[in-house]
Amino acid sequence: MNFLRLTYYLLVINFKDFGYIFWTIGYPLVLVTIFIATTSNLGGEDMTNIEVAVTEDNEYTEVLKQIDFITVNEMSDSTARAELDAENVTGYITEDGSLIVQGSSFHASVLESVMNQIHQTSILGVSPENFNFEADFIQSNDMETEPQVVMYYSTIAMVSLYTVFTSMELISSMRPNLSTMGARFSASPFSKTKYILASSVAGLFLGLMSNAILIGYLMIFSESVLFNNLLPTLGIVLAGNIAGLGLGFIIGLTPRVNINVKSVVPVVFIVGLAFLAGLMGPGVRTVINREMPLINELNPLAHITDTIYRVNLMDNFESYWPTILFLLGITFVSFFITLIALRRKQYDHI
Amino acid sequence: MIAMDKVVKRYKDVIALDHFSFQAKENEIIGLLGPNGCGKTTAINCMLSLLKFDQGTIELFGQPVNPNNNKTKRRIGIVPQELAIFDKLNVVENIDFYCGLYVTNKAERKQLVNEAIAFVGLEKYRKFVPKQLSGGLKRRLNIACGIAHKPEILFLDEPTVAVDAQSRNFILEGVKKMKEQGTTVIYTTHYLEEAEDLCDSFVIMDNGRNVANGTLDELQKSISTTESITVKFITEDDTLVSRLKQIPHVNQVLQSQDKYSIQFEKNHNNLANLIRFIEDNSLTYTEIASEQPSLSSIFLELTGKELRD
Repeated sequence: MNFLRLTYYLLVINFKDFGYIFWTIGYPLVLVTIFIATTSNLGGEDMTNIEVAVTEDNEYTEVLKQIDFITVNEMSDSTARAELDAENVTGYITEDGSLIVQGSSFHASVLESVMNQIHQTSILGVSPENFNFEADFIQSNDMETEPQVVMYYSTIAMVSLYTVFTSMELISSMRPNLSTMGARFSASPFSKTKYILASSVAGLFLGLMSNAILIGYLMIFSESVLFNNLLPTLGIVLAGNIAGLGLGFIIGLTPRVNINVKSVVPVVFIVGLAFLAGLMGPGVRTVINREMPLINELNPLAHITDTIYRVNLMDNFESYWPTILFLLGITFVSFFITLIALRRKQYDHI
Repeated sequence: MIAMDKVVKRYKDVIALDHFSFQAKENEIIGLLGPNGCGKTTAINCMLSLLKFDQGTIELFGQPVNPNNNKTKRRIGIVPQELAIFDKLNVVENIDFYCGLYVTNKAERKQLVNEAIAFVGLEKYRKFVPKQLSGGLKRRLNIACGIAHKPEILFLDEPTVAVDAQSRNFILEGVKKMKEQGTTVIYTTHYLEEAEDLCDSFVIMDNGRNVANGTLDELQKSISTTESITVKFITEDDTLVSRLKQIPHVNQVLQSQDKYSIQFEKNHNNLANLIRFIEDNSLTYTEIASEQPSLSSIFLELTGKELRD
């Protein structure tokens, strides 16, 4: 069987799998649709004169003062809390940047979004003193700054790594201790390298297709302009897909775990990475980066999210190639381990 | 063609193969018989070089087994006990996929796939995916995937488990045809009647050991079982059973209507003694037959257990 024929069969096997199609295409679309639906009315109400209390000498004061629709009132902690209780201010920003609001309201949501945005941008290396909420780089590129863009980018990053599923299943299908098909495969003279490469091509095709659908959907339906630099974004997405393949091979190699049980591993793995990278809200990301910065330094999903954000919202390519190299490094190590592990493999148990 | 010599395979403290030896010649069907867990599948996996073994040697086509010996692998086919087919591929695609692991030429592969489909009788189901097939038809597809490349040695691991009578006959006839075409078949089963009908020789396994091997005739001669002679008498004599028991070397007499099954100790001119008894007592009979022990009774005698235990 030639390479193309094998790739075709591997594509068919995955493409006809409803579960695969749902989780790689349907689920991300549902997710971003919910994001779009729940955040689309942010600009629908009057966003003028949101009263905010801040402590004296608060490092966020200058940033907040530059935002047109926010009125900053400096006062002591006790006064601020009293003003908040009296509902004279929408929110109170403490010295460490925490936001306290009195109940939920549209203005409170806007204020929360602003603070999330400030924290998120701060994490990316722009200090609050230098941060201008209506900064040139935002306005000049006609970009939106709602915190949901982080969620969109995290979703794209998450889908980039979905190739984990394809490669994990395919590597399991060639191992006799995990499947009867693996017994057939291992008893045959077929080249393992060829099979892995064909699996990779098939997985990559499906992964890129999922990403393309998601990006296209966001471009059409999101009110925000998310892709100011589309081509470099696709480069990151491609590198993410390739890294996902490698990680899937490694998970597929884990011994003597049933494929159905094993399928849970990448779900937990990816959702976990996405959570840490800010998919469930930038606040989580803020806490993780503050308390355990190493986690997201090793988190490929966080790297992809950050780089897409910087490239598209800040026109900043500083982390572009380091991220690509980081992802390709993961891929190289994973493929190397996989080939070594499968070469001339005989098993103690089947 | 296949030579396993004193192979030992341990799973921690459990010995799956205990100095297991057997040989298979070219163009024969060998029944590897034994109860569940006796080591049949382990033996096959060792022969396929999927499993490491601790001691002993295994040779296929005169060469030691080796997971990297693609020349040997090319000449082997495997039909595992469980279905090993892709749910999302149709009949033709499944067979083509597995055949493609051995055959690169597209035209040759197409012909082999068509032959395999005809061989297992799935012509009407070419475009069906497995979930549209009955259990028996899925089994046939499983077999087609293993034989399409025309292997010289075929390992068939319990191919008729949970299969309807029609598909079972189809499979058994197919195995016979494969033998006619020159294939050596290693056939594991715990259906002894099926094995008796199909196989040229047998290896009886128990607890990872080769308890006995040979043709049915050789196995029958090798065991010290009783000789059974069945007679149908025309008589209403109620004392006949007790009188039959007085014949020398009779162990037991079982009566079922007019049929009397008399168990003798072996090698004592039992048939002659019985005929003399009939003449002396002026008895009339319609049928008399000396029965050889079946594979089931051989198995029972050798292992002390029923195969389906």
